[in-house]
Amino acid sequence: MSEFIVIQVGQCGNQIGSALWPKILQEYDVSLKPKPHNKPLSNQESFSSFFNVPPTKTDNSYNSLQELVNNKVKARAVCIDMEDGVVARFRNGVLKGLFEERCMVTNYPGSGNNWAEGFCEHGPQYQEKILKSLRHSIERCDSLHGFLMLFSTGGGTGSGLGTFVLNILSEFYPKIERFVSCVYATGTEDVITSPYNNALATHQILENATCVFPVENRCLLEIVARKHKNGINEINMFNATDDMNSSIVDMLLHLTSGSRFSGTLNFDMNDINTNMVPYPKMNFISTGFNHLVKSSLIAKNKSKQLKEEMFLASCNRQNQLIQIDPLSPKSLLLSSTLIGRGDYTITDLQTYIDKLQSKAKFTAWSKKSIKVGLCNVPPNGQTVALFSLFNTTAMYSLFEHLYKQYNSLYRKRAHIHHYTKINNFDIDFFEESKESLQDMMQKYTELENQSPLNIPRLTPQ
Amino acid sequence: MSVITLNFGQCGNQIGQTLYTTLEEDITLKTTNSQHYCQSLAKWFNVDSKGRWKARSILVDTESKVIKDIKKSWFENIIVNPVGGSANNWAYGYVENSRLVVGQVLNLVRKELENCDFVTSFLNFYSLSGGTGSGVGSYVIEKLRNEYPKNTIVNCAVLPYVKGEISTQAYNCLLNLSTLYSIGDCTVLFENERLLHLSKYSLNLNAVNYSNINSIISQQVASIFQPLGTVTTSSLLQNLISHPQFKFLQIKTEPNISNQNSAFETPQQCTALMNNLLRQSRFDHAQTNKYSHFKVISKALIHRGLEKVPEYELKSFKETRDLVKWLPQEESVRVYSVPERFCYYPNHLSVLFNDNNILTPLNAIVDDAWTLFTHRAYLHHYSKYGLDEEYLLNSFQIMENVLNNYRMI
Repeated sequence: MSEFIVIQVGQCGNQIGSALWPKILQEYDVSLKPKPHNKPLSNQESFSSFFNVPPTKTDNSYNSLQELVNNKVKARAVCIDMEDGVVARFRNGVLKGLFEERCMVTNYPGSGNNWAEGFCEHGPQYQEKILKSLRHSIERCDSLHGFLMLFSTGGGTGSGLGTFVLNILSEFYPKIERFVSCVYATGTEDVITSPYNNALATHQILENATCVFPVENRCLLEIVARKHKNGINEINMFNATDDMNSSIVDMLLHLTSGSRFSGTLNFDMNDINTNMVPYPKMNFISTGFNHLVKSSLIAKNKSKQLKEEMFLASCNRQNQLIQIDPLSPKSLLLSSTLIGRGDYTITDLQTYIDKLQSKAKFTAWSKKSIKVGLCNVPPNGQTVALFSLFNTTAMYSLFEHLYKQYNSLYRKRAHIHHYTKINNFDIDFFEESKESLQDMMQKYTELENQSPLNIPRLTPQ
Repeated sequence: MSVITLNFGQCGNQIGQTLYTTLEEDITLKTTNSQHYCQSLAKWFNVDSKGRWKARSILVDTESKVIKDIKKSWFENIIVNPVGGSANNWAYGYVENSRLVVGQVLNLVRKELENCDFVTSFLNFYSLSGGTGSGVGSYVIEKLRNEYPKNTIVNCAVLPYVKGEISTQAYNCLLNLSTLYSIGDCTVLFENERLLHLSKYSLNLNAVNYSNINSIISQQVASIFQPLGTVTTSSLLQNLISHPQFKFLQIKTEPNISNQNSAFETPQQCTALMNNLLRQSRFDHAQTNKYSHFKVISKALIHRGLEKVPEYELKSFKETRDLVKWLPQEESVRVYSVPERFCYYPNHLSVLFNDNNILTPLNAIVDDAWTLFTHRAYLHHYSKYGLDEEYLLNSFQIMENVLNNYRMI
């Protein structure tokens, strides 16, 4: 079974982590309460994807968290933070005992919302310790499939140290795929230097990640607001972060579902790179699925209509975690993936491919760049779900946004001294990151304006 | 005379499983210890000391999930190197993952050969579009050919949907076909599109699943390769492949009835079945005319059942105007009749044919691959494993030559 190591860096990364692990347990029917439930256990065969089970235990069936802890089952996670607060949840919170002390790297007192502090100072300083934790986790894997990295790009630790860890991974483990899910604090920027941090981090991500599944805060906020309005979840605004994180977590679970559960048209995480990235570095991928599922309403419903609704929702711009519209007439789709979870058939997927191909716009070559997959296991509490991935030239707008914000500060060289005062910080990082963003914008524009090449096929000899 | 099957990747393994289910069903319906029963049992199964049937089959995959779902006890030779799949990339499968399994596969082939009295052929199953089946399959079959230069190698390959199911399917198909075309004795192609069409309209299924498609493929393969009296598989194929430039075969069968409905179907007479077969063909003719005139190089009709096919039907089957001129008619058209039922069908007809209909799907694939190639899309995934543009151009050249030969007949 394919295994993943989750690497959560910084406050945001660890918060997502603290939402992720309970959901994973829930998906495997492991109850968090000390008392075991009596529900039949399902799908625990792929339990080792996220957890290291000691070889002494032969049958994988666990009822409760307590049982996991007693059997020395450990989460495949590396938690890194330069503050203590969030990681302490894993040490002392509900999930106590599930995480290994060796795989937690913490320090006091943070990276001051400064990418340079994370990347140039804490990075080299903690490299040995981080590598040790990584080695410890990797040694406990039989078939390591990939690293899942979670961090935000706006701050100091997640952004700086996160991208530093990414560099380490690509240097020391070049053959293992590096999936990055990074949160862009667009729309809620509360840190004055976050445009710099965003740009500097994005440059590193572009250089080193296999696939990137970016998330924008403003999209999460909208989704939470809509959930609230629809009465899906009675939340107060204090809990908004929890709800926002749960959308990211759902996305991660969908993303890895194909590698963890079987299906009649199997798809693995490493298929995503091949199918979705037509050119090097064009690896920012938008993810979509229906966020507004009232589980009570559809628990028993399997109708065709529901399945189709799931498809339409997953292509809808309101359900993307990036503020783009995959079906917009102004942008072109480079590649797409449709993954049906639950009761989908080939005929369903064929119909959806037809619909997608007639609705969206494509480049001269990308009309058939479609990957379909079927996964037998639907998400927890749902009977069917459809998850889609899009690589589209609309991603231009994300880079444009980052570039504009960055440039408005950099033009006047504002706040640069916070960065240059850090030892080992190279002033070239600024220019490089700027060029990197410009380069991406140019690449997407070029693809949009690409005229079809009509080179005749080879003549037979 | 036995056949060893090798199944690569998810598609190959699923077909392998349904194929042996079909075969078991067919064999158990035969009178025990009749000659046909013994022949077909020995062809596909080993009987171990406890009387259990073991498939003469080797399953190969790079992902443990699919194999895990195979529960039947027939399969003993399972090779899984769980590296998490071949990423839908022919190059990854061919260059990297194949090296992990090829030694084990050849060892097991040798072991299976020792269990058989006489092996004539290898049947390989895989889909063309993916990474494991297509890529690992290519490499292992190359090595198999090196080890066993004299045995017949039949590649049964599944073509992907034309509309797309994997972004890199066109490259993967191209690379596989150009590698294996010269190596195998023949390639039996199954078009997913046609199978889906068949399931929708002949079997009247609203929602088609892979199990439906796999069972059609299995029935088609079983109806062809079940023993034909004294005729061996190799000689059947030798007659169809009259020229090394034309190695693609396709199968059509009648009747096609879904399992649930079989109880309500009245047994059809041979004449009706022949008519239905013709109707299937007419659909093709309309499609091919775009590229060139419809021409048949060779075809073989296999009839299984107690009723005799009427002479006049056979005559019209044999004397069609579409036959190529450079082969005498008795060479290019063959009819085999076996007085045994096939599965629960009282009469069953299957046609194995070699004609230029195959141009339509293959041309579309080369077209797609060429469009991707000229826009340089997805190339970096292949160059990562050492497949540069030169390599791909070479593959294009091979396929263009093959297609051109079919165009020129």
